[in-house]
Amino acid sequence: MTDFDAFLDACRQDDALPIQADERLSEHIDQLSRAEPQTEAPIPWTWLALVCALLLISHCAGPKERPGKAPKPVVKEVREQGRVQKRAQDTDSDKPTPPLLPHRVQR
Amino acid sequence: MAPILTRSITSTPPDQGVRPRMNGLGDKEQFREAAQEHRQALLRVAMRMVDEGSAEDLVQEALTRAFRQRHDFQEQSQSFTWFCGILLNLCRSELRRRKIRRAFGLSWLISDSEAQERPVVDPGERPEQEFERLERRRLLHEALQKLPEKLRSVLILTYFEQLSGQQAAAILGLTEAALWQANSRARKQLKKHLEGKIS
Repeated sequence: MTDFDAFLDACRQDDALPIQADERLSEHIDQLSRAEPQTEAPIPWTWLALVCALLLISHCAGPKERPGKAPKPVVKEVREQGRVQKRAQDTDSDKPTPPLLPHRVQR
Repeated sequence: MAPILTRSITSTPPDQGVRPRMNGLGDKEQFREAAQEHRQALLRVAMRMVDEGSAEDLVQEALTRAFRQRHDFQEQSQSFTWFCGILLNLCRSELRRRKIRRAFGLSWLISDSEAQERPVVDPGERPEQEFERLERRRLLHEALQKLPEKLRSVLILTYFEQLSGQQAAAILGLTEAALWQANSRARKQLKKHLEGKIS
């Protein structure tokens, strides 16, 4: 047997000796098996229920309307209104009709 | 190869014997029995993988995790193999954390537990015997810490804890052939690190 082998063998024989930390570990094991810790992760249902409730509340509340203030018209309506107004101005305006072109007058 | 490190190791540490196959760890009492039975071996593994000061904390954490997941324990596997797998994962994480701290020059963040001693108790031991034993332990620890993590765990499981090739390979996620190859390399490197220090 070489020195190395003898050394390793002696090291392994040392393992037979008890370790001081072992007693504390033994107590820890007893505590573990006495008091059941939380065995499962928090149930995701709680979170799911919370999210659903929030969604429901926001859905029921609907768009916010402030009293005393007319809702802003939609952009499309504004454009349409503008066009109608312009057309009306064009037809009813007091603008003089443009003069006929000279070559048409000659005829 | 010297006979002492071959697969056919016959002597076993006194607290181990033949590790029994558990029928399940779901029951608290069964878990307690299995944990009490293997606690010393688990402490030794952690002491050799990381250091003596952190070993207790690591084993406590491993057992707490094992207790929480005890219903997942596969009946066909052995309880020690299962505990050991959890413990080795924790040891690896701890070693990684330390490596990062050292790399960033934050070694002062590592607790003094590394230097802390967890003396083994032998009331009938003579002072010179105790000195020899402590010196042996220090030399082995230093030499083991110089080995790469994988080789260290292979040597600890196959030689010091005397697990079968199949069990050790299952814990480390290796094939048996790779395990014995690593075991041979580990032994050579350990011998090199101990050269001139042992007589």
